[in-house]
Amino acid sequence: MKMETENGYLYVYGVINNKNLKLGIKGLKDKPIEKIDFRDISALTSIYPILHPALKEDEAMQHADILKKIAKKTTVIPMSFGMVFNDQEILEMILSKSCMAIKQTLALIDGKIELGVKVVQNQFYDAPNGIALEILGQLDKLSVKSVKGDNFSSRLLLNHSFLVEKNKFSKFSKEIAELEEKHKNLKFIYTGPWPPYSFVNINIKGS
Amino acid sequence: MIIIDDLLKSLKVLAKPFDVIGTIELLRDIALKEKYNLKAINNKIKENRLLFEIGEITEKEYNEKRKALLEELEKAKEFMENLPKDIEIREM
Repeated sequence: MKMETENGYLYVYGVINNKNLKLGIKGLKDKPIEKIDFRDISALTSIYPILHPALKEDEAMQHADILKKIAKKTTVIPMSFGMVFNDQEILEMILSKSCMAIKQTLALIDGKIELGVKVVQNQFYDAPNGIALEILGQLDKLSVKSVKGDNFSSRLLLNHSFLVEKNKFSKFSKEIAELEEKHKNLKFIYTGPWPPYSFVNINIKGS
Repeated sequence: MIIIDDLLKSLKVLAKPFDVIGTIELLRDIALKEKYNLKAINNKIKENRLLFEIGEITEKEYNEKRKALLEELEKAKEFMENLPKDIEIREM
């Protein structure tokens, strides 16, 4: 069945491979999120009034929050903010072209979550050399993969995202608590679980 | 206070003794790069958030600085958009 797009365009939040999933989640502009199935994958979409949305902080936060809710229910390839398609036909065409890559990515991230860790140096304390590597080494042991984030401040000792098996979440959290206890001069900012934004590299374009 | 000569030396630039126009143009370019470095402003926005999250600055301080930085970012974007096509400012 074609999704009615007369009143707008299709905003895509992510792609899943769980056709039986009952979402019950509202999307941006309070529009319901609908699934558009293509073979054994589905794009999660809602109606959106414009084709090229400007990046607004509140909507970007909502987008992240919606994806967080979806990720709690199923494995999802998250799309970045502002992925809008003209109509269902174009979206299906894109899905058909990227179907194989999507399935491979879904297999990679299935059963896993992303956790973010930032370690900040105290303004009056220079952490000794090697501390960052030591912390990273401990956390890498508990993750499938990790990626370095942006080094946007000289105060940042570490800024990494970790892809972690869901069943290792509490072990990872415990490790963070122990590291915090051990390194009292450092501040840890621990966030997540997030959909694995940093570990998917599928770039699909809108209109 | 940074002395012009020190600034130039720090940038490994050797100014010709009487190339005043060249020096002025170079300093103007350095100033523009400093002032309109979008990446640097974005980094300051993120750092401001970071300092708020670790409790090093208050919510009031965070909001004030954020507002100022967002204004700076808007001005920088506007400046970059209106640059003549033959001038390029690379982010450092």
